[in-house]
Amino acid sequence: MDQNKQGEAAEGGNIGHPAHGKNQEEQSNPMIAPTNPPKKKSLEEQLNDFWAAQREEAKMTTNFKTHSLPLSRIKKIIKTDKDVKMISAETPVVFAKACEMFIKELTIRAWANTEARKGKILSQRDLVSAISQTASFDFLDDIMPKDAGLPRTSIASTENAYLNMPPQQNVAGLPYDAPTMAFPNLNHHAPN
Amino acid sequence: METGGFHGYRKLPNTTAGLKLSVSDMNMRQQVASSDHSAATGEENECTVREQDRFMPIANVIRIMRKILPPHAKISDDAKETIQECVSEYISFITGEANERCQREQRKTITAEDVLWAMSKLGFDDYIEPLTMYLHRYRELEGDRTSMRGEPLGKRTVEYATLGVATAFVPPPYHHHNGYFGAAMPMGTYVREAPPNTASSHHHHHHHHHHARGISNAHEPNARSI
Repeated sequence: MDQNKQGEAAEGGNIGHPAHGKNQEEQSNPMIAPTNPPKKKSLEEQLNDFWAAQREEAKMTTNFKTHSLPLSRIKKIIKTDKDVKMISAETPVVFAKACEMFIKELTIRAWANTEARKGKILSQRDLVSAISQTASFDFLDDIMPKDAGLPRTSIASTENAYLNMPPQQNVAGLPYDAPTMAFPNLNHHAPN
Repeated sequence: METGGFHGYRKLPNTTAGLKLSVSDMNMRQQVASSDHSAATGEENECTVREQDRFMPIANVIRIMRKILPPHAKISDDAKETIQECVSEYISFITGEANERCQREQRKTITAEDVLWAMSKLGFDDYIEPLTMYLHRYRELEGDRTSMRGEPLGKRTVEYATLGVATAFVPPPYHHHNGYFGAAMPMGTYVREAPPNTASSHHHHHHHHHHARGISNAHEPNARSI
């Protein structure tokens, strides 16, 4: 319990980081949210609603002048791979939309973890948990912070567990979960 | 106390000698690869890669997150940074797979179809249908600005949509990556990260779906390149 309180008071990261700015985010939330997940719904229901909303939104898009993410930055990131020679004009446009959906999907999954531990701040460990619980996010494992003192074998065994279970399930003993954490709403949630 | 491997994407409050060295390394790599950069990118010199250019702007990222979060939700600073890193990694991951397909088919230009194909192959099936619709809308409204037109493209795009729907009901099997890491290795961030994690294994789990050969045999569309 003290651990939870301490986590809520601080930024909640599992690894100590240099102190950054305050977490004051008083910015108002626009009421035109495409998906506003009520707490009552399970994560799977939230995601189903989210994808349905994305399909509807994509069909009704009228403004391609402004994108939620700058195309120039997307191009630069694509070009960090020196094997990439040329990209069509549509490629950054598709990436802008894809990244928007990626950010939203990751946020939904992370916030479910925040709620599960009764936190009020979406923190790095919620992202780490969401990523470890989602098969399509495995490519992010390498850039996630490792817990101090966590044996590497634990990670290997976790990956083996994933390999043996195509439908994504909440695996007991995930390396980034505190032993006391419970995820009642995350059982039997499949990536598709 | 920060432990574990060095994260190349980590942004520090103050510029350090190590960071300067990293930026310098990135500049040198970019200079070596300058011939790969099209002039169409145009806005500034490609040889100069600022630290902030490797991530999406944090304000844009937070705005998107807030659209999906309840009004009272707060986001910690480390979560904001982590999401920035995840987005860059996502772009590089998809791009690497799309580029491999281009190279196999001896094409030089990555198209929107290649990106959609890569996403489907890498387990992002839910993304295919909305992105296909989005691309259709883009071509309807912005079509005069690109040469991406024609029945073959339309047919192929429809096939992607069908593929996305069909694969949604099949539990995706895992299999080892088919060279993504090879594509990723040249990236500056990976090169910097590799030495500290010498013992690390490279586990990238890919969803592998069987596609109709017709799709992968398509010739390069007449695309205006950047």
